[in-house]
Amino acid sequence: MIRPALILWIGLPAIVTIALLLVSYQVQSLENELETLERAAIAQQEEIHVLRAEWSFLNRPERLARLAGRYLELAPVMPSQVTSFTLVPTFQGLEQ
Amino acid sequence: MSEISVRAWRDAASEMSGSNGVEQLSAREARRPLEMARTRLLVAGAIFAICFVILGARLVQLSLLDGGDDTTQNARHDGALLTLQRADIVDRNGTLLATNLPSQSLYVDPTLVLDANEAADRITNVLPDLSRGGILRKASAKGNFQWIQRNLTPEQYYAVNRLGLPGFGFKREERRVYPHGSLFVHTLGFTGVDNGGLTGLEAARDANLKNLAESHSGPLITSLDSRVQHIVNAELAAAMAEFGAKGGAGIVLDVHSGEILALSSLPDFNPYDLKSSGPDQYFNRATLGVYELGSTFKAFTTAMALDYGVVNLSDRYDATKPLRVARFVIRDDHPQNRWLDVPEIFVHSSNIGAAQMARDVGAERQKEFLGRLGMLAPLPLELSENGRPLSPRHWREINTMTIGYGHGIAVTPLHLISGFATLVNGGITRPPTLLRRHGEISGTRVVTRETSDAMRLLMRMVVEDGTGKKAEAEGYLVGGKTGTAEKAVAGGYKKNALITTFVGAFPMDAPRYAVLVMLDEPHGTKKTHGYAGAGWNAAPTVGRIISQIAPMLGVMAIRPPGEDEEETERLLVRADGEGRRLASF
Repeated sequence: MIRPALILWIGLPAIVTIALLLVSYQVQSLENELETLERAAIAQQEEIHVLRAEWSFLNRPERLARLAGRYLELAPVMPSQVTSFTLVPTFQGLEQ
Repeated sequence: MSEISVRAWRDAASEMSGSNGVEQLSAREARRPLEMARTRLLVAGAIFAICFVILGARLVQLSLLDGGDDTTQNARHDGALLTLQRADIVDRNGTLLATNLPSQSLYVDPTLVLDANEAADRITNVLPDLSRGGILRKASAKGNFQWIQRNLTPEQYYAVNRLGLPGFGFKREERRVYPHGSLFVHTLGFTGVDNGGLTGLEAARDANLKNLAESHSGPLITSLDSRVQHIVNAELAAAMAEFGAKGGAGIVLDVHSGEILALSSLPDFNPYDLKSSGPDQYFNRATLGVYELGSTFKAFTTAMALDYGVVNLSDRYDATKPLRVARFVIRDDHPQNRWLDVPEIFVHSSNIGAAQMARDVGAERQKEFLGRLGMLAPLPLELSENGRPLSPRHWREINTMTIGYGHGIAVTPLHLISGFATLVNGGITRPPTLLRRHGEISGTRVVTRETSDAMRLLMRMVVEDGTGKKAEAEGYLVGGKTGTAEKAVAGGYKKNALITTFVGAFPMDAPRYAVLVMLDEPHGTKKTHGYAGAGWNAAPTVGRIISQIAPMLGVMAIRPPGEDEEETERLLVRADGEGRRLASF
């Protein structure tokens, strides 16, 4: 009668301890992973932030105008080139 | 002690050799401590059991039932966010105008420096801008912290780090960066080395920017448009160069919301290089400078007279000869020497007519009208550079008459364009703003819709066949008013030092944007036949600005009737690349 109870009372704490140990190690490694990921995320955000600033710097209207003038054969839009869909004649089918 | 123990020993010996009855008694007595121990054990066990049950229950509550504060805290882990000291500033299309970038600053801990002389030599080698003596002094100073150089570039950081000097270290800081350089310097302002706003929006919205950054609630969205700002800036600079003007201001305003799309004041300065600029560069001519803006005020006089019912469009005034009031003489710059009706007074910019109109309205009502239009008080703009208009303390009849054509009252160019926006948008005034507005914006009515309609007509006439012909941008129905005023100096007016202004709106059939260009002391050129009036310099600048920004802002051009066919065909894309067969036409 004493034996099964003893085994139970010694075994149960042992199992619980081992389980707790395992869980705690797992949590620790997950926490480490989280920290690494968070640090990477911050670094990425910072990088994106810097790139956004660079994007804005490279898209200065003054620079785009200079580059367009040098490399493209485009001119500023003339009033006659702009129209609205409401002003376009509706398609009536091909005539002739 | 010994006597007692001896007696006890003797008792025990006699018990051992004693009778049966004594034995029975001793057995019962021997069981009693055992029972006591059992009850004690039971009580202790019960207490422990209760404790464990409580612990277990708490464990279940915490882990399974999601109770307690800790679990909710851990469940709400929403990832790491980059936290900067100041929020970004973006324009209405989301283009970045100002941001904080991480940077490294070099400092020295003099207690750790081994050889200050050598360190100073090597640092001046890689950072030639610094003086050797300065570094030497800092490296051998008392205490354990001295800044050497704030905000190094990445190359400088690398170079200094490579020296590996003991005692010299880097501190991560943030630096305010304006990707567009000086383009927005008069609206955004700039910050100090510790990232506190010093001028412009940066100063006026300092707390707001810091809160936004702290709570990660996105950038500060302004009403500005970087494309429009660039065009205004470029055209203004070109006009200044062409006419030899010493300064200029340009504004584009949404007449329905009061949003400022572009605000430019030249000359401007580089926010990274503050030392090489003087007060002239720092001065914001568009919002801080107050000027007597001359004939442009005739629009307010005319609107006021129409709105009070003092005149109607067909009333006429005598402009045959200069007008004598007290000891002053009011003359016309473009004398017609005849009776003029109200539209003619406006189109030919007759001082004599406008002065009489103002006199007929009266000082009280003029003051009240200009007050409602916001011409007598600083605007509630989000800038610290906000000019206070100058108006006469005693509003006599002569003041009324001169203010009728824009003299004797000084306002900022922003006041003027804001007043014009009110006149053309149906008569409702809305304070100009640099921040993005959404939805219907409430305003106060200043003039009736009928007056506003009449003013649109008159302003269109000025551009069609009046002093502002050169402001025309084909297809966009520009309307406005020119103003050429001699600069007021202490005790009078400076001859040949002019402030020329053109303020207008487009398209005049349903105005959407108002545009102002002001030039400070422009000069005549060969092309303008020596004239330096607003019609020759400010007006064409506005025309060029409008023809460029209108397609960007989605304003439809109205094609003049009878446009030749060839032009149309040239613009259409051919379907198959040959002949004149066009897709679906």
